[in-house]
Amino acid sequence: MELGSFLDTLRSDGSFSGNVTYWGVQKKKGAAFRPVPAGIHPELRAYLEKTGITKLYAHQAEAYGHVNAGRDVVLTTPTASGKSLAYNLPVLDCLLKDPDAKAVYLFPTKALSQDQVKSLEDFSLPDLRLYIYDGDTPSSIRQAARKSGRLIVTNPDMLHTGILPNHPKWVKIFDGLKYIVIDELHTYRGVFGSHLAHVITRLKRIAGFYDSNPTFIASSATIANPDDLFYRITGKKPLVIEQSGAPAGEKHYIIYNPPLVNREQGIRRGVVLESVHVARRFIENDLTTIVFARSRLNTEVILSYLKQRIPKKKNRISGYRGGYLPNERRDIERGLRDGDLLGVVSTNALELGIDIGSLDVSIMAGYPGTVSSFFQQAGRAGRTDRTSVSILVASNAPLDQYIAQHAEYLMGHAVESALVNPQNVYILIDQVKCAAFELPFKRSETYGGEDIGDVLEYLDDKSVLHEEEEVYHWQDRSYPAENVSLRSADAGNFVIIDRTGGVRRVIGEMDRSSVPILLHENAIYIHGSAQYTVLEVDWDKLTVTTERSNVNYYTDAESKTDIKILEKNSEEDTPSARFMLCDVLVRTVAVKYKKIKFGTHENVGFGDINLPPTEIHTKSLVLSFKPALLQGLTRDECEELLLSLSPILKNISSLFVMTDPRDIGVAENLKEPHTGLPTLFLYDRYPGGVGLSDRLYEIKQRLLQASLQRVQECGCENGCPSCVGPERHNKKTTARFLKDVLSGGISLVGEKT
Amino acid sequence: MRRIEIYDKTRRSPASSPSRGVGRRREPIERIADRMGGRVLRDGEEAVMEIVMPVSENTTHGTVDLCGLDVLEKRHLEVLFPDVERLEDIEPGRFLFFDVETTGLSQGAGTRFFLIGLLESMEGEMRFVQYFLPNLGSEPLFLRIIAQRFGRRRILVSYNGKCFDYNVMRNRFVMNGLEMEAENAAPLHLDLLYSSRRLWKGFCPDFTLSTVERLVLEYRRRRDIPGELIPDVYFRYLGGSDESGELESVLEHNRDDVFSLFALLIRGVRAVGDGCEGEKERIRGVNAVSLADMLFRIGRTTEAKRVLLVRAEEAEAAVRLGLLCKRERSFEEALQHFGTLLRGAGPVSRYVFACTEMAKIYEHAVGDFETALSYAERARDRLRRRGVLYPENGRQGAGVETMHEVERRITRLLGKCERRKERGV
Ligand SMILES: [Zn+2]
Repeated sequence: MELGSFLDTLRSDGSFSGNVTYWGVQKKKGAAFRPVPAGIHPELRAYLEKTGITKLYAHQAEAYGHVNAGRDVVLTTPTASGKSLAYNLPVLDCLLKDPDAKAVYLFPTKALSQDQVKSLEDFSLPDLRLYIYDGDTPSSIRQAARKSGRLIVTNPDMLHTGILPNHPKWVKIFDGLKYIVIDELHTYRGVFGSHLAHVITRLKRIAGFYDSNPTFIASSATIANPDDLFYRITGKKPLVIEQSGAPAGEKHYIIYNPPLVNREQGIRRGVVLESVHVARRFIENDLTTIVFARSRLNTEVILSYLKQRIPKKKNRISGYRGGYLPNERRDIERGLRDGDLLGVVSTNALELGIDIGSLDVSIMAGYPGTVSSFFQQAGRAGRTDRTSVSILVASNAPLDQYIAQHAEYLMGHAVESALVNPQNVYILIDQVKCAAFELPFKRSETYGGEDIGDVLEYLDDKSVLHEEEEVYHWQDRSYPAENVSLRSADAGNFVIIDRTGGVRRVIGEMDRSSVPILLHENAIYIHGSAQYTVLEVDWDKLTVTTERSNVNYYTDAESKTDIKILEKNSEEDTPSARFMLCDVLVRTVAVKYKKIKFGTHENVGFGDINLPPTEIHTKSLVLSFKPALLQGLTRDECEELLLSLSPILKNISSLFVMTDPRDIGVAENLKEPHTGLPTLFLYDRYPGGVGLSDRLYEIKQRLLQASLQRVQECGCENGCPSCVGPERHNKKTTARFLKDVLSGGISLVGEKT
Repeated sequence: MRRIEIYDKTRRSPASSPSRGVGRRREPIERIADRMGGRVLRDGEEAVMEIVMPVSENTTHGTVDLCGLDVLEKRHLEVLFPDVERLEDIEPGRFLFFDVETTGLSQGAGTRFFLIGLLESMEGEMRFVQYFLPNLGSEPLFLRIIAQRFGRRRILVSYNGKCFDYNVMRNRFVMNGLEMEAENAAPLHLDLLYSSRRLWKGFCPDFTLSTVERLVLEYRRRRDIPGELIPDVYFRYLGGSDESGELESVLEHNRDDVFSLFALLIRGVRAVGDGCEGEKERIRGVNAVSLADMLFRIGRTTEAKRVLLVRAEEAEAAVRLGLLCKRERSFEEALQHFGTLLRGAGPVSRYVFACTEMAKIYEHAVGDFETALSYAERARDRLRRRGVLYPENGRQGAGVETMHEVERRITRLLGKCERRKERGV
């Protein structure tokens, strides 16, 4: 059936539309064209003509013009709007015209590099001298890349450990380095983004040494702060191009909230079955459909249900996830493009890059965590000439429930901020070591615009650097980049080992402070949608040994957290509360853990944890509530209230700062010594902080507002896991309290949106 | 500064190495030069210490006499280093033996070299020179002096210098904006690591210079500082706390390295030399098969064969001899060598290889299909006994047929035998 008329059917079908909380339609949009720039190199013009491109989309022409004029640019146009061409044109044009010019492209993953190289090769420009340089590159190719490469496609990790520390071997690239392209800029946030900011600072330092001053071009998903993120990472103020000139067919966005099955407890029908139910309607009508599941396990469950329920078409439905072999994947991708497949169930493996053509329907079985992921997954359905639809099926999780009631969060003005904090002292010191290895520091030299005299002196004290005539030289036999991982915490990390099947295999890393809570013995560790049980924690070797497992529960450690305020950075006093941004010392000791059943959140068991306390120094948003607010509540009720508030605030916070809820710590103190008041802490879990708390302090009022909405709008009677948490019945008290805090005259000064 | 206090409190010290006595004054380089019999070269603020040591005629290094460089002949050198072929002359004055001591084992930009040992022939006399960098600020002078020695007509000799020493040096030149060599005119570089690996394959458990010099040259160092401690000695020296002649032992270590690589070259050249002592003598103490391969590599087939014949009973030699004879169409002889491989224990793949080669010769060259068939069947039986009938991954080694291929051969041979019988031959 044709999708448009099928959607009409659904609209009038109460069993579907009765559960829809939002149904938006984006009208068909024509293309805004601009002529191909007159001065473009003939070979590029020939390529464009050959591929049938006689005009550019407006944003592509705009990017060409600005980059050509030497401006740094960030593109935030939607998925599939031809962003790659927008940066490829000016860069290739320059490489063709100037035989000495070089460019470096950075992609967050190897798969994206591969994809990009394929499309660059389509230009068939023999003098391009294009090389991928990553962990898979054989050494003979590496040499050729260094000797004669003009366009190097790599990732931040390789730039960090392979290229920058060996810059004398890369003279030919640095000499005449004109462009740095950073694709998927929004993925560089938190620890990874903070490190990348340093890697770019180091790159600029080295480029400067060889008299180069490259222009930066980035592409990003829609976020609230693309210019700010670009600035923090590259140190340059960009021009933002957000208006897409690409055409788009009519697009429907639907948010589907499964019906309540238990009103009192607020339990809704499960996201997995409901997604199957929704997907089935489309597939049965021969509409090509992709379902995104939140875990590998869910992928398999949804797939088998779909095959079971649509037996006639079961051979035209397939799964797609990380564990599939490359040729299986290729087959699926081809099947989708050619229309042999009607349905595919995927993890977010399909979210980035990979070409599967475009489908009629994209269904998300649960909110994918960030607005940009939402649009990337939604973008899998959509054609320039036909109608398409994206449906978010909400789960019981608080985030999903918030989104289900607040479509404007997704569809309105971008609210997510990608945050980085290059000033994090742990990251800073590690990175200054790498930078000093690459080039000595002059005493007066600034680094990323900052004075780092204190760091240099400290490292000199520790004999890592050696000062001579006002110059700090590297004085250690190690290769510092090797010990600094961009993707996770610091050198004090624990390595997670899977010993399933007798083979020991490293599957991940975890910062020290999270180990007692997430990786104590018998903890269930979920990684890449696989499940592992922790067998042993070795505090000397910093290893955690695990084994694959298949249980129906996860573990949740109960820990005592003690927070000491070290220093106040900012403060705001209102009649109802005191808000502070502080440096804090978080001391955590894990005592026992609970086994929580998936889906129902039932408590199915306990265990003890015998691990030493850990201490981290970090930053925190501190919320202290004045006594007037709590009048009439018993001590227990007060405590209960704080415990109800913390999960809501934590979840809501993670939405706005574009991070996993686990990156934000919460703690409560009925009588915080510094203020003497009942206090909530929302802190950066990463030592030193990656900028989350700073942002939370800025948007505290919106946080409280959104939390209030979450509680008020929850479908339950007295409280449930989607709002105040399991086994709590103080929904009304919590709502009233939040209202009071908000009406207590919180000043709007300093609010940023 | 606050952020540093926080860092320091919550973190273990980032430096694992012991304190290097920061703040003390280091010993003036003039005094060290005096003590070591060197001198200090200066240019403005920059200084470099030079130590020159003539090498007398009858110095020995382990079991090797360090004779002059005039014993080196091109036809010997090219066995070890095929690149030598492109040289017009190998006049002794062109050779430069070198080895550097560095501040780290990686080749990144932060690793520098602070000492270089050079051995060369000047007007017929061997002379050893060391240059030492007494402070980091003097690096430009240090590099300028060294650059004069590395001209494009040089023939460089090192041990693992192609991969390490030379790269570290070039990095430092680049970082000081100096040129080590003219573009595309890199001098010829003979790296003894690669030829040592071939020549003494099976004689040394690993090929670090210290192992090779001990086992091949039988050289024992008087006292030695382990290589991995050297960076710290230099850092301590820079920090002013060099103790009890540590620096001297580094200089001595470097001198030993350079003399060892010189001795290794002489030893290697002797091994490949084709003097009047005969083949048995020639291959004493070297891997004969490797030596033969090196001779093959440069087209000296007759010599290679002579070397192999000494070891004809050994499998690896027999394989090469068999193939060589087959190529020369001496089928009788080839059959003999392949036949050697069927005797005694050995891997299945080698047995199958030999059978197949023999079957091929009987089939195509001799025209004896029955015998050819019998060898093909032997190959099949051996494969069967091993239990792997149809290996999934195809071939098990170059020239080794899979069961499938062997069976095809047998079928074909059976057909040929049949037809011949029919024709009544
Ligand atoms: Zn609720």
